[in-house]
Amino acid sequence: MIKEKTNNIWRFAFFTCLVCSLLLSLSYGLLKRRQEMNVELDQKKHILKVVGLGDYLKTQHTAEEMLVRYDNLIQEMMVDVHGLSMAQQQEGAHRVYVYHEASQIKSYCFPIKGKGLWSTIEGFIALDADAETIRGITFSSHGETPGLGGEIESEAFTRNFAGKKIYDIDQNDFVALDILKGKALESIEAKKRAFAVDGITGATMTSNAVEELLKNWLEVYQPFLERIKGR
Amino acid sequence: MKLFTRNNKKIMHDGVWGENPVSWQALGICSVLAVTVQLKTALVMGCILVFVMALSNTIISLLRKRIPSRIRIIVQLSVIATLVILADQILKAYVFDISKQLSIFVGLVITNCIVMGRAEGFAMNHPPLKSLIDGVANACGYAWILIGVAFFRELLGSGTLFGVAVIPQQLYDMGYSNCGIFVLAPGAFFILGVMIWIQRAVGALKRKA
Repeated sequence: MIKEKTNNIWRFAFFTCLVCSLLLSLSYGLLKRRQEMNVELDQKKHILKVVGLGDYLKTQHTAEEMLVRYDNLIQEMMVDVHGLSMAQQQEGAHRVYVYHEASQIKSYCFPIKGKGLWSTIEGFIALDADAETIRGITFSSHGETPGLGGEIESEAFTRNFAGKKIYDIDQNDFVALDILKGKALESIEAKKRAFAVDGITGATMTSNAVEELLKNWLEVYQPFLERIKGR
Repeated sequence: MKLFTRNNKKIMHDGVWGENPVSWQALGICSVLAVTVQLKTALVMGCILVFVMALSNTIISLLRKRIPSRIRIIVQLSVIATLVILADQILKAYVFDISKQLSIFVGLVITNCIVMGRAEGFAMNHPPLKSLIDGVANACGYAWILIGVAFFRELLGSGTLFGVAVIPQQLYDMGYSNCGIFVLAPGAFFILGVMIWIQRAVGALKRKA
């Protein structure tokens, strides 16, 4: 074999890197807008689904139609730590999506985010207009083990949340939901069942992560929820 | 130059059947387990591999006389990684739903040993056209196994094909239920094992004849 000059190796390596990085930056620059649009569209789909418009999403419609519908029905607002709405985005502000229909508030939707077992879990939770009954929950992105913790995005898990309460009338206070270990709802006290959800068998860590995430969410939004309930 | 010379036909046959990368050489098993729960993801994954391998083999083959041998592996890797990231970007821009499902597995194509194996083992010492054929043939060999496994996993595990329910409701009413193990990795092992068995048995018969 001919002994290669070190200079040649350097030159070749340099040009390989140059061409590869140029190609990648070019593709990123060209496709960035489309990718961001896709992410936004996906978020809006999740919001529509969680406030109870899942049936609409199953029908045929274009992306533009969906966006128009979203803009008509969903109003985004920012609230501060005391639960007061703010005019614009500021530090320490939290987002709330309000679902109106015929000038009546139907639902409040909140972003949820927290540490999962492997990666950040993000999603949305929606409450009925009474600010105490859960309307739905959805997880838009997570990195949990497929087939185990990954099941949090399945309908079989999320539908358990609908109708649960986050406000305990006896205690006169907000409570975060308990995620049980596996299928255990039948085995707990009847009056606690409204505040608990079956977890996922074999994915206790992820179930705990969801519980923690809901606790954090409630802490952040409690002032706002109290204001709605007029306390 | 003719495309279907005897030599080229042999390259195609080896990649797709005779020396199939998955069933004969047992390469790329990890991704066969990971993306075969549904037919749709398997199909997309197969397409990505055809795209990546066709280009990577051709590019490496074009450069093969210039690549300094001491850094050849890292050069191959850079070319493959660039192509994979490119494919990922395109997926994210045009088929977002599928890219979400495939998530990290697209990135893991870089580490799929079939791609580098063919680059180092074939493209480094064969001309571009032959390398292109070899790349596509091997990728197709991988893809049909993938699709085959996904077909049975989706059918037996979820009772659907491409997300459409195919098992009639009457059957469920009569007490049939989906077999959960096929959704999990062990199911893929069973199917893959049976496929390898059949393929080798047929191959052995041919050799005897």
